[in-house]
Amino acid sequence: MQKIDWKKWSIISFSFAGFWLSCYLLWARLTNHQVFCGNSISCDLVLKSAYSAIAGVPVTFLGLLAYLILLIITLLRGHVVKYHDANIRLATYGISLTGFLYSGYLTYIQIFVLGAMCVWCLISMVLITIIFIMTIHDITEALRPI
Amino acid sequence: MIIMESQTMPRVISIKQVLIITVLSVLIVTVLVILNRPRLTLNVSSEFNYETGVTANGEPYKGSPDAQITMVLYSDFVCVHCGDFTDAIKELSEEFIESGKLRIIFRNYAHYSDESPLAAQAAECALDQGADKFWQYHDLIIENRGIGTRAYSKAQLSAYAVQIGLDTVRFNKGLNSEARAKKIQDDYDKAKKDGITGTPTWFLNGTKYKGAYTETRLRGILNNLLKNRQ
Repeated sequence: MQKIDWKKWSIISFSFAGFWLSCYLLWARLTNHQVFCGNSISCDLVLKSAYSAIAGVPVTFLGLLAYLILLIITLLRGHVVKYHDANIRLATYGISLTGFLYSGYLTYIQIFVLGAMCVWCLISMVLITIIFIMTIHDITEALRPI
Repeated sequence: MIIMESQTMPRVISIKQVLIITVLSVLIVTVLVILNRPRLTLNVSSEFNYETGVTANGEPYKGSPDAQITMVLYSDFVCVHCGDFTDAIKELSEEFIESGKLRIIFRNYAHYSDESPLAAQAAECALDQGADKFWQYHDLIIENRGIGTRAYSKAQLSAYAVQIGLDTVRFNKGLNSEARAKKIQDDYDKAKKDGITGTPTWFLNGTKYKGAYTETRLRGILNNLLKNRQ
């Protein structure tokens, strides 16, 4: 029981952090503020690049949604009927896998195509990777026969 | 371990469910990657409402050759002020270029940083494949400008070529060409000899101006010139 709580609250914390990070990036984009990037404008190059939106929708917004949904459904764990717990785990796995893969692709784009890295995107990559590893653990746990 | 309720059986997650979710996720990511394919930024259109071409000296121009006002613009892709000036000109594009009143001839003066020559060389490689391609490429570099980053790295300059659909083999060959690099240097030397010391430096029907004027100020000057020529 304690084991589940520890993972659950880790996912909640990291999703929370990811959500606010995405909010910051989205706000900066919408208000045309330069994000804090030390002395470099590498961040701006990435965040305003041709890869920063999909069909007009900013990628940061998609990240915001993903983190928000992860946050909400993980908070619901333990407060819904037990058999929904399995669905939540699957959904969490699906979302974090999607986020993890897509973040990996964007990291590749930064390194090999844009030649510039945005530290905020890196942080998000780390967050979603940790969340993803936790969901793997959850899934393998849930796959074990009762 | 999944806790069992006394009355409801907990749903066991099956490998099949996990596989379905995995495949679904991979599919979604694939779709997202495809949709995220690089395309031109909003301000760069592949169709121009004005003429583009190359002068007898091999310089790219945009606007009608019969335009009353000719601007000869010495510019550097890395120079911040050139970027600002380009933005100002863009705002006036419909009013003056599309209406046939202004023609802009572009000349490289690659002086601003050690990244400047390569960027200028890249733009010339785009020019090889058409004046309209040059202007698209020009707009793309300036749209994505950044200093002290790898915005002007060879990889990035090549990526822009991909974005606007250039023949990349041809483009990259030009980008690596020593002869091309020399031409950029020659252009620089000549401009320096002609008295150009910084960018943007621009001439309107022969009168020299220096610096990035704002849209408002530039509009005023252009309108004055047009009035005086009536």
